[in-house]
Formats: sequence, structure tokens, C-alpha cells
Amino acid sequence: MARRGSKIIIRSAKCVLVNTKFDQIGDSVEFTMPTAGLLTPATFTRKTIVTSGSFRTEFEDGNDITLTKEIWPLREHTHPGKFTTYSLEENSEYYCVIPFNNIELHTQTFDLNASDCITLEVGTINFIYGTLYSVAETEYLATNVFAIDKQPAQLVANQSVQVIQCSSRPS
Amino acid sequence: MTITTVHTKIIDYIAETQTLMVAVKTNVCKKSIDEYPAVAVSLARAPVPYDVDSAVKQVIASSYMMLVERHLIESKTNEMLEEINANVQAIIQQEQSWVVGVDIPSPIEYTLEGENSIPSTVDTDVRVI
Repeated sequence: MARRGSKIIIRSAKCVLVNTKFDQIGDSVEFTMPTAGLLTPATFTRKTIVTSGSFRTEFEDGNDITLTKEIWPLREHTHPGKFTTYSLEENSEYYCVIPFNNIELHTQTFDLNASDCITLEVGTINFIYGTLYSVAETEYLATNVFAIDKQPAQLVANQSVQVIQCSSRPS
Repeated sequence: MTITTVHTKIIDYIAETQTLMVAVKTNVCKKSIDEYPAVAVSLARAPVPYDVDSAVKQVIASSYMMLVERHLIESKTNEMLEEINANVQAIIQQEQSWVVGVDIPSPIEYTLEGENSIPSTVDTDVRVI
């Protein structure tokens, strides 16, 4: 079954973070994207980022997508009506970065080689994929999500690392 | 009187009287900005149907005023009424679940239908620095 985590508000990034984990292959959730009201395809500004496993989303209009460590939605992948998201692997997990109203999220991807380092700035949400790296002088051995809320942090790659970074700006 | 002042007055009124505007008459937008607070306040007599805290009230009021402001500018009274009627209960329910006890500066995006059917039973492992 699909299970959701607690919502975390990151004030500096003007967003809310929430994760959803799917235990088994084929676990699914059906959503509805309304066509009218405050949340519509045009106002759907959140980003969904896979941190574990993979997913397939099937839309009513047949424009299905498969997600593996991807950022969704792309502009052309927001459709009104019902859509269903299925997990393709056990223990698949994604995070939603949901901006406050009138805030637009933008994303960047950084590929770091061993010994590269970058500064993670305040107001960013960082999805770090790697097996050996450090953030703020603490070592990590797996994929993690870092919300930089109070002070910048240094990311040092000890092996190759990929970073998907979300930050906000007024729309 | 500026629109910001109008907002402040209405938000203060909601906080003070523990009421929420749930009815707006069609002549609201025909009133001048100066007259608007009195009109709005006179219509705001329905008790808040949920035990919401002040942060949530602020969010609701801000959401409300964004709608009102937009439609005041555009003079689209009917659209305003339809939008408010369609969304005010959703705002109460969804904002309450998202932001209780948290002072946030502006409303957040609303949940997708279906999202609240997912049980909240898994750990969130975000490292906040």
C-alpha cells in the first residue's frame, strides 16, 4: 500500500515537503487533477522527485510516463482528469515539493565527480544520489534529502554524486 | 484606503470575532473600496465550523482576500462568488490539515483529490540544516 509521511514546512524555501512510499510492486493511488478552482493544470506548480525505485503514471488521455529519479511534472506532462500512479519496484518512494501560493519552483541537476564540492545554499531542497559523500562535514552512504533552511552547507563528493536541487522564486 | 488596509481590517475582524465570511452578496464589488470593509463585515456572521487556530485563520483570510482583490480589480462579481463558494470549505479543510500551528507567510498549493486518501504512516527522512 501507499503510505505518506508527515509534511515538513521549509520556510526559507517557501515550500512543503512530503514523501509517499509504496511497499509493493503495483501499489497505486488514483488522483484527480481538477480543471477548475484554485488547483488546475495551469496552477500545479509542485515537483515530484523519485528517491527510490520507479513509478508509472497513467493518464486518461493515454500520455503515460515512467519516472525513475525524474522530476515531474514537465510542462507537457500536466493533464486534467484522473491519473493513477503505480510503483514498479518494491519500496519505491517519491517526494513532493509543494510551493506556497504564487511561488514557482525551478530545478537544477548537478553531476559531481569524486572530490568535487559545491555549496548548498539556504532556501534549496537537495535530493542527493550517491554512495559516499558528505554534507556539512557529516558522511552519508545513500540517497538523502537535505533542506537547507538556516545556513549554507558544503557538499563534498567522495564518489560520483548527482544532485537535483529545487528552489523557489515568485511566479 | 488601500486594498492592504482593507485586508488588514478584515483579517483583524476575523481574528477578533472568531467568525469567517461564508456569504458575500452580489453587490459587494459594486461598493467602493472605502465601503468594502463595512459590507464584508456585515456579511460575516457565520461561526467558524471548525476549531481552527489563528495561523489557519490567517491563511483562510489571505486566500479569501486574494480572490476578492482579483475580482474587485476585474469587476467580475459572479466569478468571485462562484469561486468563493466552490472553494471556501476546501480551503478550510485542506489548509487546516497542512498548516495547523505553523505561521506561514502565504497559502500553499492545494492538495490533489485522492492525496488525502493515503494514510500518513511512514517516516519522513529529510535532513534540515
